[in-house]
Amino acid sequence: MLINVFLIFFSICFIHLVLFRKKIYLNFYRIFCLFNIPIIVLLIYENTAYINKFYYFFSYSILFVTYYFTLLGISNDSPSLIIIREILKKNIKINSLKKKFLSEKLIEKRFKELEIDNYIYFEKKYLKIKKNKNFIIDIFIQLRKLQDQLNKKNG
Amino acid sequence: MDNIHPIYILILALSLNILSQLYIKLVHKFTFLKSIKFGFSLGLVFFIIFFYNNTKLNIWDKFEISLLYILASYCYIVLINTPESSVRLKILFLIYKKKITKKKLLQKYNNNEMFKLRLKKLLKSKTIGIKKYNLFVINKNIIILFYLFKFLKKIYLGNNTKL
Repeated sequence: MLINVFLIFFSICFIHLVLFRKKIYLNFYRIFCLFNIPIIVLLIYENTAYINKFYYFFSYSILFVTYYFTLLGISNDSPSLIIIREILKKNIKINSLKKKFLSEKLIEKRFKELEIDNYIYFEKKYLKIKKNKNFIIDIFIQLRKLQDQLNKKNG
Repeated sequence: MDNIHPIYILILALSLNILSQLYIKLVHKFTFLKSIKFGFSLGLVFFIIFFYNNTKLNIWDKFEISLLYILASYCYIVLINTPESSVRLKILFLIYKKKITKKKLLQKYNNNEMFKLRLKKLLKSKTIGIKKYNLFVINKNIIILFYLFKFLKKIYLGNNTKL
C-alpha cells in the first residue's frame, strides 16, 4: 500500500510540474488541496486498520512537506547559493563578488514579495504586518526561543 | 519487538532525533550544525539497532522507513533553520519589533549587510575559504547541493534561470 502512496504523490508532483511549466502558479492553500485531497479520499475508502491509515497519511505528509520546502528553495534565490554560484563562476575577488551580489537586489525582491503576498502594508509611512499573518511570526519567534537562536546573527 | 508497527519506529526515531538535538543544543551548548548532526545520527543508530533485531520487516519496509526518517529530518532542519536564514522573516522580525519606516528598515538591513553576514557565515562554517584575497569552496557537498538545485530549477523554471 505504501508504494501506492508514493505513486500518488509522484503523479501529483508531475501534475504540479506541468502547471508550473505552464506558468500556472498556485498559492499554498491550493497546493495543499491538490496534494492532500486525493490521499484523504483514498484513505477514507481504503479498507485497512486506522493505524495503517495514519501511517500512510503521516508518510504522505512527510513527502509533501519535503516537496514544498524544496520548491520554496528553488523558486527563491538563496543568498548563500548566489555567493557559491559566483565563486564557481570564478568571481573569486571579494569586491567583484560583492558587486554581483548587490546587483541581485534581493532585499528589494523579498520586500516586494511580502507586499504582494499581503504580509505587510504601509500606514502613514510606517510598515505594518497584517494581523492575520502575526501568528506565523509568533510561531517562528517561539521556535527561535526554543532553539536559543536569539543571537541576532541571522540574515 | 517483531510486531511493532513501522509508524512507532518512525515516531520513536524522530522523537529521539528532536529531543537529543534540543538537549545537546540547550544544555551542552553545542553549535546548531553539530546538534543537528548529533540528533540525526542518534536516530539513525536507533534504526540500525532496531532493524538488526527485527526479523519481520523485509528489506523494502526498512528502506521505506529509513527514507521517511531522512526526509522528516530534512523537514525539521529546514523548519528550525528558517528563522536564521530567511530574508523575509528577518524583514518581518524587524517590522514586528517596533514601528519602522521602509527607509529606516533598509538602513538597518540591506543588501550590503546581508552580503557581509552571509560571507561571514560561510567562512565561519568553513563552507568557503579565503587565500590571498581569493575565495574558494572548501565544502564539496555544497557544490553537489548547488548543482542539484540548479537541476531542479531547470526542470521547474526552464532555461531562463540564473542559478
